Amino acid sequence: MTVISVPGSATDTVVPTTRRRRKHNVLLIVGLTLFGLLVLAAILAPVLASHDPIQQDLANARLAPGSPGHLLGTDELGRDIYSRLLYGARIDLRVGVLAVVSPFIIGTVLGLVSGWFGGWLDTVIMRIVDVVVAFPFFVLVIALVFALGAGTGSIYVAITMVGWVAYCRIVRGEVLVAKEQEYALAARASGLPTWRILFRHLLPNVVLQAVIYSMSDIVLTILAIVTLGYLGLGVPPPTPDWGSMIQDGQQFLLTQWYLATIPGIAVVITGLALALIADGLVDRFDRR
Amino acid sequence: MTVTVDKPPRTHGTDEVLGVEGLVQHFIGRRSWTDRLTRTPEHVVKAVDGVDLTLATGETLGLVGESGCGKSTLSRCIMGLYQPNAGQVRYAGEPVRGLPTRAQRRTVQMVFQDPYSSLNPRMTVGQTLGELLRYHRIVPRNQVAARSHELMDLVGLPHDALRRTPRQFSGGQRQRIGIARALALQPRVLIADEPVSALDVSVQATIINLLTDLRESLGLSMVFVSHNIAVVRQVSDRIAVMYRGRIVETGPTEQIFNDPRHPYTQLLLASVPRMLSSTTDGHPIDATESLGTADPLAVVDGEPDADESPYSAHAIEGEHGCRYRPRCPVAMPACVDEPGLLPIAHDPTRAAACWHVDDDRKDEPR
Repeated sequence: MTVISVPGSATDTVVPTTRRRRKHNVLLIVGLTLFGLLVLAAILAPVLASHDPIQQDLANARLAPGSPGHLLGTDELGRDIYSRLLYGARIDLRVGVLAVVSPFIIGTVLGLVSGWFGGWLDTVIMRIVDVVVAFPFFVLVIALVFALGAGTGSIYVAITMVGWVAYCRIVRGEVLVAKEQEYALAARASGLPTWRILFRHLLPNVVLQAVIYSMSDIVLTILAIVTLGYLGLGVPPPTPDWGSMIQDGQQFLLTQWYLATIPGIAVVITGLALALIADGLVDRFDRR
Repeated sequence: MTVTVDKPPRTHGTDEVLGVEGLVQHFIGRRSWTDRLTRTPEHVVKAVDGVDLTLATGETLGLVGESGCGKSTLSRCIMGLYQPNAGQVRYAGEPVRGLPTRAQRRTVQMVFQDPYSSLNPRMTVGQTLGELLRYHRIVPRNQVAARSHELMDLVGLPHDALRRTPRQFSGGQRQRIGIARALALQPRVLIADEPVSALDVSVQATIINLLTDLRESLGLSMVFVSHNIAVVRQVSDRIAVMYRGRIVETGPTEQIFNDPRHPYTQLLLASVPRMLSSTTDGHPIDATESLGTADPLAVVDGEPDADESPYSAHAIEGEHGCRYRPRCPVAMPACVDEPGLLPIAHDPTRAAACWHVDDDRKDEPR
């Protein structure tokens, strides 16, 4: 009689994970590659740019893409669009990412505290959130930037003051669910200090939704800079940024459509890269 | 699963390792401002409503009762996860004031019900155990790894399990990890809150055996919470039956199984499917006959959490009288006075909260 061995039977003490898990997370890889290229382009702007981004050349204004010497053409002041795009990435990506970091941190910490402790602390924090949410996002940001004066510094402060509420709400909701899970009870039952339970046990389990939101928030922030630029409250000219490029180009939309469209495509690609990263993160880390 | 009835009598000390006195834990429902304006009465859930318990060193107490009777709330109060409204919990004779101190936490530890939510999905088993060993300074830092290996040996898992996250384990294996986590603090008392009810029947027995083995080898005392009568009978020295936040009957396991005195206990035992409840030792459980007057299964309607049921209204409003009265087949006018735990005349180790406690005994009929 022959012994038929069944692979992976009886001897296997640890049950393999049942969840379908892609070997290669295509979304995350594509998203990170795309975003990495954008960051690289921004960092290497001085090397890659063919022209000085603020050098005017009125004789060669509004050249079409593909013109000799100007890969993507020139704008209404004869500045090279390709070079402005690269330098614009420096401003937009930096402000977009940095303006999301502080609301992320503040909102996450307040959401953790609010959801965990509850009671009057929760009531106070959530009332403040309600007040901020009651105003339209742009109205509040514009008012704050107006009060603080135009410039990237004011943009950081204004977006932080308005943006933290979204993270606070997301994290608080997740904490309300997580703190009833038995692993949170077990951590309390074993007498670990509260801050440790909050930051070592709960935070890693609740932060994913906030991270995903932050990806789309970066795009929203870049759009906010665009809007602020439109109102003259953004990055002061002649420093190139995608928002002011779109704003300057839109008056020529019927004759030179590419002036506004090219920086628009840059915004879309950034948004796409971040959306892919967000989806990839869900696939990678969501364990529900 | 084998039900061992002929347990060798285990010797244990009489000194109290865990005590509960007059414990009350009420939960008050959220009241919106409209409720306050319209003077809607507060919705109070009396999860635990005056419980006394003692656990002697080395003893295993089975805590049984239907879902929603307050078993889990009681065990969480004992663990200091809730701050009870009234009453006292004592660890090794020392009262717990407010929340248990860091040192007191080490005395009593808990095995949780759901092996799927009781382990942090983002921490490896080694991280979970290591954190506890370090924070409570159970062993010097350089011996944390060695101690973790010992804990894995204790619960019968391979050493490389320490490097894995909970999701890579089956339910039974996770419950072993949960037991290892509780044992990491070297507790004297283990509270097991329905430790096998979420597991496959085939795995339940192995976890029960692990718990009973550990109890013997480590000299643990245990509170074993379950609604599974057969399992409780197998592991417990003594049983406390809980109903709507109160203990209605206590006593040594076999005496309760052979001669339940409270009508609710009789109902519980009679509800167990025959195959499990009868005659492994030739002693049929005549739960249905022990009162002689009525079939306890005759009145079985009413869920403890259903707001519509007549007796939950009673519990919220007047709250007088025996809380089992609305379901009780032998209720009588005297039952409007709620009986406390009354000692049973012929057996001082037992008590039941029923005016009928000494009525109609099988062996000495009146």
